Amino acid sequence: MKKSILILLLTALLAAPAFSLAGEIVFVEGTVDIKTSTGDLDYADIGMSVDTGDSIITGYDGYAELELEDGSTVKVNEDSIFKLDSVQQENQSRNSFQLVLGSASYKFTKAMKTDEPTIRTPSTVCGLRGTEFTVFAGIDGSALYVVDEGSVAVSSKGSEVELGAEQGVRVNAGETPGEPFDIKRGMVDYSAFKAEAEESFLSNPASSVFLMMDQLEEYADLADENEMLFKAQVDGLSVLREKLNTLEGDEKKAYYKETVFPEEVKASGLKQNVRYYAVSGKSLRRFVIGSMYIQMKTMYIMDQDNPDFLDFMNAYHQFLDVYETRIVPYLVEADIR
Amino acid sequence: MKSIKFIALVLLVSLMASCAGTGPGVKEDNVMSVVELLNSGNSAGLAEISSLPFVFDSEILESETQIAQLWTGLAAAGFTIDNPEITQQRAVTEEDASLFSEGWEISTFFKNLLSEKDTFVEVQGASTDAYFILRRSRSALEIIAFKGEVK
Repeated sequence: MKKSILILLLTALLAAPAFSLAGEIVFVEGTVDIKTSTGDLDYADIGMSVDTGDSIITGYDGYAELELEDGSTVKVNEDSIFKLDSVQQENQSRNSFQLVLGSASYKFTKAMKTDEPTIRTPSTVCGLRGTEFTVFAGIDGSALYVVDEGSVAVSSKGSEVELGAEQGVRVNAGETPGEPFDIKRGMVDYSAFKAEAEESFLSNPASSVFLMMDQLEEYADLADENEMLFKAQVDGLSVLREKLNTLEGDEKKAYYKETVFPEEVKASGLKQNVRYYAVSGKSLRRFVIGSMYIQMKTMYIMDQDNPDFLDFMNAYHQFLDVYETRIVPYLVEADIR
Repeated sequence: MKSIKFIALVLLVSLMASCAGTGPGVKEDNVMSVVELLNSGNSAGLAEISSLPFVFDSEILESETQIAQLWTGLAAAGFTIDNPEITQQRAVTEEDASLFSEGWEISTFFKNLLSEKDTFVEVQGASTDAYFILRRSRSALEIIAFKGEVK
């Protein structure tokens, strides 16, 4: 059994390039770091490659432009955390662009539109029908989508709105998308959105943590679900392998190619999803909850009996309990680097 | 002549004894220079010598923005260490993780990313205490972890 899992993990590693998406940094300004999927942190530079699982982290003065293989571009603005990823859905790999915090502008080619990547923030997901748009993710979990060209479908909490060119929508954490509004190209005041998100967070910090905890639990549920499917898949594979071992020659090769191998790929995709959701939970904790904690702890360090701070800490510890019991089991030591 | 040799030996032994247990590479002056940056509200100076990733309480900071947010936030709150006194300065151990958090992430950080070459420092002040993990590599001093408390 252990051997089968090992083979599957190896298959997953070998199969990974088939799901992967790569890009290259074509412009960088100020402080920009790249955190690779293996945990290495390095200063971004022009020409550096960014692969599936890697994150671009910009500082106060940071800005980076990423060009993908098909010519699509992602511009990561200051104070942002952007992650290039992929997830298996309905036996197909879908590219996923996660904006954990801050803002990023996307310009997709028609080829990319065919592959339909998903654009995510901690609280929203957007189906790509547009070619040029910007997404903002605030510290309170809210998101703002603004479309320059084409159309974009934004969904949250089971509700979807479709935006046309020069339209935007705000989505508060834990809520359905708001009413779309018109906005002229290039006229978005991100600093105002950022300030509003901070104000919203500070007006009820504990509530913001609980909203993020809902999101964390959603990631944990999806990781559990995929782990369960993975285990069932491994069990199914061991039956197929038993049969494989009874065959010989061309019949064995054909059986492996047509029956066993597709199931192995499916298993590796499920394991990849477990990692995807676990690492999404880690990003949520690291960047969103982490930033909330820094803000609250420094603000109240001289007044730790403040009721707002105590409420926040209570929510924060509940969040950490969920994280520790449900996400950490799926992480590996290499995630802490 | 014999007495000069004896005095030299005593001085050498005293010097070695003063170094023992102070943590490798990091000197008292280094610690006090960090405290001085904190006390003067020099958040840019602190950010400059903060490593990434960085441990703050139970959090691992992974962006320059978070580092800047931490030091500017502490400066804005007026967190200082008055009349600072170094009460501990020694090589860091894996067990020191529990001072920051009991969680898996911090213990993994201490286990895999710190070594006995890094220095654990406790500084007590009149009304506040601070804990640092410092690293000295060649001529540069880095802060790897920080925890501050009000008494």
